[in-house]
Parts: sequence; structure tokens; C-alpha cells
Amino acid sequence: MANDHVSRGEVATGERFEAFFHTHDTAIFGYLWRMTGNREVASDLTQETFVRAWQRFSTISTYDAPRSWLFRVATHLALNYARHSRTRATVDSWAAVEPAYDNPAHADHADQIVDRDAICMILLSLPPRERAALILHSVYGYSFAEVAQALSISLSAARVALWRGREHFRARYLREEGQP
Amino acid sequence: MTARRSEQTLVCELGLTSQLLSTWRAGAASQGQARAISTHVQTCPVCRAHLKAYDAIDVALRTQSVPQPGDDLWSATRERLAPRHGREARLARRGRGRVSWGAVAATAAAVLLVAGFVQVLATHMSGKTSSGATAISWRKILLPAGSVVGYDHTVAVAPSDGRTAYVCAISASASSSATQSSASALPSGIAMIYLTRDAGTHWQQTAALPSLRRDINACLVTVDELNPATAVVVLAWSQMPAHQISSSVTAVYATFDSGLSWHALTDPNLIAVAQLATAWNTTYAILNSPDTTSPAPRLIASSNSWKTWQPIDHDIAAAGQQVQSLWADPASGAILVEARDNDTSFLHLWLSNSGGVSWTQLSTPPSNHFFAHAGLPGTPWYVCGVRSESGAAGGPYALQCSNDGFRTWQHRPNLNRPTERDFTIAADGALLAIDDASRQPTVYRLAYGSQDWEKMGTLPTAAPDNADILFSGDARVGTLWALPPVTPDVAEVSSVVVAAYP
Repeated sequence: MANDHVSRGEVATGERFEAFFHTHDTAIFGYLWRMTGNREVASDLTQETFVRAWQRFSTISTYDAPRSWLFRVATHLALNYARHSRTRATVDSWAAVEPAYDNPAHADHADQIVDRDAICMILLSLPPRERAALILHSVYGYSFAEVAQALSISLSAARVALWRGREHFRARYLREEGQP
Repeated sequence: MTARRSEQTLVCELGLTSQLLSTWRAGAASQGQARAISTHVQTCPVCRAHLKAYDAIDVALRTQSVPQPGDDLWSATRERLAPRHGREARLARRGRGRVSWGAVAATAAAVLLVAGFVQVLATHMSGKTSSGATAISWRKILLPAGSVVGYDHTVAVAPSDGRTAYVCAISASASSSATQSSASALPSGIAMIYLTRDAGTHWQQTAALPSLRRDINACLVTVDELNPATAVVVLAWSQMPAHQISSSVTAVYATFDSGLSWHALTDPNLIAVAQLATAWNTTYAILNSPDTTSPAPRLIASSNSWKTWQPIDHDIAAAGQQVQSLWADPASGAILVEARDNDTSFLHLWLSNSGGVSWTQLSTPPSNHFFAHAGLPGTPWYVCGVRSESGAAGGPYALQCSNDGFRTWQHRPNLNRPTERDFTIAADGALLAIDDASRQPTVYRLAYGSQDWEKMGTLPTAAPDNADILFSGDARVGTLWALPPVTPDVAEVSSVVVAAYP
């Protein structure tokens, strides 16, 4: 029965990894969706992020902030994807996965979709590194040092990336809003 | 304007560039620069406009709706792990099929702790005690880091489905300066709303809700009593935590789809929501002191999907009473309200079968507390009143229940302890209560029709002595959550206990 033997420790590690996955998958997927604007790609890159996490799980699980490690890997995967994808990423239609609202309380829903798409398009129009810096800092509260680490760039380069991302986004967002 | 041009363009007369403003706003300017800029921007309209635009960008990015990952994300990921590990294949050969890794919560909890989560306690009821009662064995669960305890809210457990709960997490450094970059994973001014559907084994982030203030120190979550998919989140700032909030509120959000989407609410009444229940397309809400001119709690209702709300407690108020809590019957749409008056410490019950248009005050035994359950087989309402103070007829510590449409009230054996608390009616009709007599609170159960209270177990030593016990559950499974006490200062949740109740 040697082949059938599954050690208790092995299953326990699997259980721990599943819990680890469920703790972070929404955040990582959300980040990758913001970075790519595409559900399928975000889903695929999320899987790849966690496959890599599994390979080093014995180390990662001892980190104080394993999520930072996940974001770093996800960032590299997203930048890699942007580098290699010849066609510009497009915002996938999310309407298909939205619940159907016939509730008047959700009358603003259409506006939300428009807003979301506009923001998504502006984000995707930014250079990938600026995009990552802006999302990591503004959405996830990353400091310059953490942005620098995630992007594998210097602190001053992180400052510039965030500032440029902000300025690019600001110019396009204000234009989108009809402001000068 | 391109970024490169703006780099060379001064933002204002003082000579600030947008790059310096951006750096300062992220809390990374040198000390001397930070001081000068902080003073300057107070009076410089150009810089303020620029910073306002940065604020708008942050809000736009944080409020951007993001799709949830597909349900198959874990299974798809596991498929990619399997070839390396070979575990699935071996388990299949053993005929065990797929193993749920989430089955052993204690192990998962250990990882979550490493993952920066705060430790929490949970338990499962399982097996039988020597007396035949359902025994409880507690287990530890974890809450997301930054989960807040404040006011009356800790973990918002859905009363109709005790495995579903929401918790709100805010930055621990929320009170720090708005220009400081927080080293915490949580950005200040943002509330992360997490949802569990398995009594705390897994928590999923559903939203990052923005507040207009960066220094919010309270986040109150209220779940609909009958519909776990509906919840309201109030983000607030108050100088005096544990006091009621009103004008200091910064934002109110609601979800109607388990956190998939959140909607900003503009009705100022809802900032004070204390209880929500939706039945027959009408949502009822009890508000705590919506404003300082109206200190009494109010009962309001909306039948048009929260577009407008009307007070429906006129009859109760006309009788000189104030609503205290409510129950709704999902089957009939009837609502039952517990109310108090200023003349006696005994409470009253009011019933409405017309959505609050008309009310009947019920004849009830003198009770300091009522608890009710709608939907037990054979009876629309099962209601008990507990009298926890001595005096007059009925004796001390009386417990009386009615299950015949409030026509008669039957005495039930009481725990007869001065320290009993937290009575509730489980989905199977059993009464549950806590006795606080010893240092370790004890959970007791009185089965429907039984005359004997059975001891189910004590809270584990790891739970706080004065933990609040919340009973919850639907017809299939119930849970006990032992929540840490509300502290005067907003603090992180340190422990919670959950028990499944088959």
C-alpha cells in the first residue's frame, strides 16, 4: 500500500495552501484584472501566481506579509504579459457576469459600468510600469519602498513611476470628465 | 498636459512641481520639505486643486468595480498543481475522491496567522455530552487583519444563516496624518469588507469602500435578518468611540448581492441603522437616534427598493413607547416589535400583519427581554419572555413562552441564575442561553418540549471572559459566535468563537 500512502503532513500542507489561496485570490485576481482589463488573462495569471507560490510555499508561509510576495510575482507576470501581448488589451464585457438587476435601487448600475470601463481604459492606456505603481499605491496602499520592491526598481524610479502614472491618469481622467 | 512637460512646469508660484507634490502626498518628502509644503498648500489654491485631483484619482481607482474571480479558480489552480504533487491521483486510487483541504480549520488558521491575520476562535458543536446534550468543541478562526471592534458591531453574522458573516477592516493607523503613507497593507480612508460563507474558515475580500475622510475609525456592518445577501456598511469617524455617531459619518454603502456590488446610499437616516429585515419585498429598519433632535429609536420601512423610507411606528409612539428590536416572518410578512416605555422596565410586544400600517399591542407576561422565532413548523411565532429581576407575581427569573398566536403563555423552566443572558431560540425550537456565573461562561440548551436545561459546554479559556454570544442559524445548521466585547477604544478583533449547531 506504499503507493497509496498520503502523509498527514502532506495533506495538512495542502489544506494550508488552500486556505492561503482563498485568503488572497480575490485580491490578486482583482489586481491582475486592473492590470490587464481581461478576466481570462487575469484568471490565468492568478493561477500562475499561485502555482509559483505553491512551489515555494514552505518559505512563503513563514513570511510576515506573504501577500507582498504574491503581488510582486503578479506584477512581474502582468508586466511580462504586457510586454509580449502584441495587441492592446481590451476591456472585456463584464455585463455577462453581472447579475441582472430589475431593482430600481440599482438604477445607477449602468453608470457604474460606464465609469468602470472608462477607468479601466485609462489605466490600460498607461505604460505598464506606471499603471502598476499607481494601482499598488492608490488602491492597495503600497509605499514607495513596496512599489519599488514589487517592480524591482529603485526607490527614486518608483517615485517617478507613481508621479507619471498619476499625471497621465489625471490628464486623461479630467478629459474624460469633460474638464479642462 | 504630458507628464514630462508638467515635470518642468511649476505647479504654483512657490515653485512646487507636481512631482514634489506627488511625493509629499505619498508621505515620502523629506522632513523639511514636508513641513514647508504642508504649510504652503493650506493657502495655495493651485496646489490644493492639484491635490484634489489626486484625491479624485484615488477615489476613482478605489471605487472601480472589479469582477470576482470565477468559482472554478481554485479547481483550475489545483489542476495545475496536481501533476507536481500527484496527491489527487493517489487519493483517487484510495477511493476517497477529492479531499477538501479546507476541512481542517485549525491547520488553515495557523497559516492565516502567518499571513498576517488576527487570531480568532471558533468552535464546532459535535458529539454528545454525558447527559445527551449536543456538546461543543471550540475551534480557532481568524479575522482579516485590521478588523474593527467598535460601537455595537464586531462581526456582522447573518441571523438567518450563521455561516455567513461580514467583517470590516480599516487601517490601524487610520488616525495618522492624511499625508502619511501607511506601512500597513490597508490604505487609510478605505474600509475593506470581507465575507465568509463557512463560519470564518475562509474570508473573501468583497470591496474596498472609500470614505471621504482618511481617518475613519469605525466601520459598522449590519446584515439583513432574513437575507444574508443584503448588508449596510457605515464608515464613520467619531472622537468618542462607543458613543453614537451621527453627523460625523462619512459614508454609507449597501450591497444586495453578497458584496458583489456596493451602492453609496444618500439617505442620511440609514447612517444610524441598527437592525434590518426584509420580508415580502419590504425592508424594515430600526434606526438608533437618527439625529440629536429625535433621540428615540425609530422604525422605518421601504417598499420601493430603498428609494424612499417611511416611519411606521406612529401607533407605538402614540402609546408612549419606543421600538427596541424587531422580527419579521418571511412566510407571512408579519412583523413583531419589542418596545419599551418610560414607566416600567418591562417591555411590550406589538404585531403588524399589514406591513406596519396598523399595529396590535399583545398581551404579554412581565418581561425584561423577549426573543422570538418565526417559522417553526405548526406555529407562525414562537416567542419567549424572560424576567430577569425579582419581584411581584411570577417570581424571580421567570421564563414564559407562547406558540399559539400569543393567546396563551406557558411557564418554561428557567435557568434561574442571576447571571443568565443571551437567550435565543434556535431553528429547531430549542432555547439557548449563557450562564456567566463562573469565570468561564457556560452554554445551556432547552430542547423544544423538554423540561431540563442541558449543559452544552463552556467557552474556551482563550475566549474573553465577557465575550458576547451570538446565536444564529437557519433550519439546516446553526452557529454560535462568541464575539469579543466592545471596548471603549476602537481596537482590532482579537478573538471570536463559532460553533456549528447541527
